[in-house]
Amino acid sequence: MFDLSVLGIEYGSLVMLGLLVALLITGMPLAFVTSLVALIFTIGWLGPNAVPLITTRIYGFITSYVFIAVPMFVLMAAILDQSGIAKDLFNAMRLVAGRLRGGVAVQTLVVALFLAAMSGIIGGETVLLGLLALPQMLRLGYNRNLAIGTVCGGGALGTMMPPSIVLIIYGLMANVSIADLFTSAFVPAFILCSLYIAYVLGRCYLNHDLAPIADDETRHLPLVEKLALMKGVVLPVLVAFSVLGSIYLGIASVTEASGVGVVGILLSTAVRGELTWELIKKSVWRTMETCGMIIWIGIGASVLVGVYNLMGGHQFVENAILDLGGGSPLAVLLIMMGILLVLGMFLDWVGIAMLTMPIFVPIVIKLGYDPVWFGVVFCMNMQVSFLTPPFGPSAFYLKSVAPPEITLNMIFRSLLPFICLQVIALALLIAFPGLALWWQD
Amino acid sequence: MSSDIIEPGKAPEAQSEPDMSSLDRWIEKGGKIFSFLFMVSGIVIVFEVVARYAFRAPTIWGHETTILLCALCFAYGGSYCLAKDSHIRIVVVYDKVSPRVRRYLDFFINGMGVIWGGFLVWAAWTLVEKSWFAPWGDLRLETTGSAWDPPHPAWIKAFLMLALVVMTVQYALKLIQLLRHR
Repeated sequence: MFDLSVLGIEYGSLVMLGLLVALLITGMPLAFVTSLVALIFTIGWLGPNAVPLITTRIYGFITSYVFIAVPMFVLMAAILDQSGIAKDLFNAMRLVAGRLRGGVAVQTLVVALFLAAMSGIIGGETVLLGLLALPQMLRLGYNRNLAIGTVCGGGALGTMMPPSIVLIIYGLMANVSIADLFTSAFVPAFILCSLYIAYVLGRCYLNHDLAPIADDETRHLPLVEKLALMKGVVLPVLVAFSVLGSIYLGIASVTEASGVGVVGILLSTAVRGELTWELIKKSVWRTMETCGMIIWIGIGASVLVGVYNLMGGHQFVENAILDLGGGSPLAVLLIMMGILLVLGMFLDWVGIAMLTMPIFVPIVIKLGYDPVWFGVVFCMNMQVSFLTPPFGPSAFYLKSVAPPEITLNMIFRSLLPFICLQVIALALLIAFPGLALWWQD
Repeated sequence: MSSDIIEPGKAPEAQSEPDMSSLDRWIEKGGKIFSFLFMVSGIVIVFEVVARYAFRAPTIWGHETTILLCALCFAYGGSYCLAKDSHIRIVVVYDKVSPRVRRYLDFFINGMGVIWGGFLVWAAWTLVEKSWFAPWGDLRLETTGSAWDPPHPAWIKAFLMLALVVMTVQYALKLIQLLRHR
């Protein structure tokens, strides 16, 4: 057999990276590229006897109890998307908009924050906002770029605001408490949303053409109707908050809370009279598809990282990053942020989390940073990856429901100021760790 | 409203590939039944929570059943996404090249897929062998070792191998399809 270990870890890492990139650009699925490369290196470097290691890792991955929270939150989000809850929520939040200049954009962001607290994935949310808020803003004569940016930025909040699947996966990778991560992510998510709102209001204040004040017909809603809308919305919002609450207070584990969330949101749709066979069917199908994708990327990446660590790659990357940082923890951290931002342009967050976190988190801990805080930083960083070209998923989601005259280029251009805001939030979080860790002693 | 199934990382228009093999279609159909297990797991979790917190009588089967159901779904999901072509791929180059080059790429992707699957099936077999047979060759299913002690690990490992076998066949069928239509 061929023996790859003669390459040494430096060239070995390079060959591995080259192989990964070469296979990826052929269009082979990410999940299979990573596990194939892992297999090649297992056999070539560690020898055929190490092969059972790979399947043991796969087995361990699919049978971990905490991971069950992922399909549950995906299912919860899918049910939410299929129901009319988001639409009613959006309409009920009209009172936020009022006579405010840019009011509908603010209303969209507030709704986004609520939706984010109910679901942990962004696809559905961006699509919902794209269907609900975008047409209304365009009809009212809002500046198109501002409207697009608001929808995509708001939609991406789903991953920052607990219960976020990004945080759950980070918690699994880094072996830190998911409840702690959720508690810490709350304020940063709020800050990010406030930055968006401040930006929208600021721009509208400076330039009145950007957002006309809503006409009376749109704004005014009879009290009876308002109450009716509220009634349909209160229950799901209550479910979401009790799910989060029980995690924060340590009453239930994340997995338990997620299961209760699914049943709770299902009961809410029943109360709203929307619980149909169609809704259940579509929700579980979507869960299967989303989870199949997430889990197999996870499997591939976890196998690859496992093999790479056995090769000694762990130590190699750690030394390389620490050398590059020149002894300054902040420099090391900024290098990591740079790596994550670049990866975020091309890869999905699941892949990034699984590939880099097993290597980055030990370094971060060694430097004396708090891994919980780093999880929130990572999550904020991944926010950026949702918006950055050429593969910002948010842009693609919006494109799928936006009017045809809105091109992908236009969307990416509109996202630029929002990306800047995200980077500002990221910088704030790095400069003031207390924003995330205020609740600790 | 948003009745289409939107999967992350991809625009929704890429649904139901026209060149799906009949195996792929069966997998898709099976997946639509299988996915209800997610809902069942949710209900089992809630049952367990109610039993524990409201009646102070935790079940001995709740926890392990949820893990079993989800693990089976996760394993199936790989094959399901392969059938529906919804695994995340980087298609910038793939979409730009000429049809002829794309054919070569298809050959390559599916060929590598078969190799990938073959290796993993072999790797999975090493695991299944240990969990189904005692070292002296008798049938002996690996159990979880809890109070309930179900043979879930053996089932899950066998199902994982089955899923890998199916994925290998899926890739092989694609390869054969390519060779036929030249």
